[in-house]
Amino acid sequence: MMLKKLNLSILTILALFLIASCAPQPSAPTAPAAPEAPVEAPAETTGEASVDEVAEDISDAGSIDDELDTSELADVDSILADIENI
Amino acid sequence: MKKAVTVLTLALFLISLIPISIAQDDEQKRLEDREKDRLKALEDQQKDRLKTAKDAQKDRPKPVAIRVKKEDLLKERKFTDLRKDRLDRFKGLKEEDLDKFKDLKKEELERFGDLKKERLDRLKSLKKDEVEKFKHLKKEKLERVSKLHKNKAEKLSNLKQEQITRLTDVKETRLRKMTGLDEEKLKKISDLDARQIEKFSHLDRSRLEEISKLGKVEIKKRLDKIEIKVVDKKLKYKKRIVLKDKKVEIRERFEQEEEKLHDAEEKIKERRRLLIKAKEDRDDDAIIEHAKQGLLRAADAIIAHLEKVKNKVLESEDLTEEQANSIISDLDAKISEINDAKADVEAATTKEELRAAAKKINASWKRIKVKADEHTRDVVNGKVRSILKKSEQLEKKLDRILAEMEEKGIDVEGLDEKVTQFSDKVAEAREKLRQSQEKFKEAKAADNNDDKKPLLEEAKSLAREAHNDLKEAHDILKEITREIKAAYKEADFEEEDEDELVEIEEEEEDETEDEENDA
Repeated sequence: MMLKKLNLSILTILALFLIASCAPQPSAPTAPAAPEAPVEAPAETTGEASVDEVAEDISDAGSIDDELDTSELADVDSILADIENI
Repeated sequence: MKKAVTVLTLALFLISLIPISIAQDDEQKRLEDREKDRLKALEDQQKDRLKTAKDAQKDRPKPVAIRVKKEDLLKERKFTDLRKDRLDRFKGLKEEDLDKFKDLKKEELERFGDLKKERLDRLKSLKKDEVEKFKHLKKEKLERVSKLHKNKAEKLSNLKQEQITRLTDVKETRLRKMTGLDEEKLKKISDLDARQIEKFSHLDRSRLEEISKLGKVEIKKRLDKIEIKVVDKKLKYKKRIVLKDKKVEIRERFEQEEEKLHDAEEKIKERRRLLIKAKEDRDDDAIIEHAKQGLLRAADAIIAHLEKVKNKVLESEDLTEEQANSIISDLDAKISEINDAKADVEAATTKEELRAAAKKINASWKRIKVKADEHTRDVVNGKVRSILKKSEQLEKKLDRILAEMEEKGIDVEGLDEKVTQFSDKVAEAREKLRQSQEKFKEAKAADNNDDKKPLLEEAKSLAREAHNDLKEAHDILKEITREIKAAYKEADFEEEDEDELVEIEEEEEDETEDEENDA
């Protein structure tokens, strides 16, 4: 009898525990989901001829140095040295 | 057993209290939020009440005494004698604003009355003594001042009358730029003569800042070394014009030469491999064959490289016709030299002859390589110089647009800062290019290739730094352009006023010294 009472009280407490846990919680103010950062397409041009023309010149100047670099002729140096010693 | 059950029950009971306590905390927070809302509502109510009270005060008729005073003022002869449209400008002013003009003479009032309403409105925001500082200015100069932002006009008003007269002699865009300097510097500049102020006003922001930091004597010295040149509208910072069709044709030839060079390099690699093997095998016939073919392909590679440089020179609009012709004839001579050496290789039948031919080509190549590098530097530095000039012109364009925006009441403070950053970056590039040119000059003057090579390398590295600075400057420029277009849709980047077609040439320090020595 005593055991039954005890079981009942434990069950009641457990039930209370369950009810309290399941009680609707006031929703914590959640930070608004940050909008996805817009993937910005690389703005190559501004649409203003005078500005874009300079961009083109800058790109050209960079490539001239690379295109006329004599280091790509290293094999010429090597073979000339080899033939001088045949 | 009973004890254990009791402890367990108690523990369970305590655990069951946790969520309740959490719920209570939330309840407490809710109450606090509600209290905050209530306080905020109260505060808003108070603000509303205050605003209503202020509005009521505004709507309340002005004290009769003040109205009479304004009317009395306008009845004075100097006002009544004004032309109707001029008088109307003053009639439109509030009592306290009209008060700022009350001590002016009729002819001074006429000049102020000639200003457009929005410009007079800008000046009326100044203090009475500040307004009076501009009373002596002639119509055109007064108009320039009236277009300035309040803080710039205030800065100007702190100068002496004659200083203001001198500074307002320059066009409004440039006046706006100069009044961006701090007061101390502006005072120093306003003591220069009209010709020097005019020259100073044409400089970019970075130079304005740099020069205005100097002492008065140094400022004059520095300005004497600066020349303002009008740019040829057709050439626009180019040294010559190369037609579009011609450029396409040159580009195609360049690509063909590049292909030839790659082809030759592949063959050189292969011949070298075969030559090493033939040497290992002590096969003389094979050695002769691969050495001969290797030498011919090396000569082809050298010629292709020289042709590439030649095409870049032909395409360049940053070299004068004379410079380009001189480089081309030098390159042609070098190509002939290699072709002659090629003929020797073709005729060679022995290892000795091939060794001699290889020595000849190698010696030529070592000399030619340095010369080709020099010509490349001419082309690249010419290009960087032209970018620099165009960037300087763009700064002037930005200054014009910013002045227009400010006159229209658009806030340009942030943009102004960015234009200054742009100007500073361009100035850094200018300095690097100057150093690069100096090294290049030294390289050209050097007697032997061993001295030339490191100097050319330094010149190349400095030009690359200048190029990088210009890249950064251009990133800032793109940002400015976007911001301008967003805030001021009418901005016209293609318009070119006369100020945008001037070029600043600064004499080099050493050149002056040389000239002085010559004298």
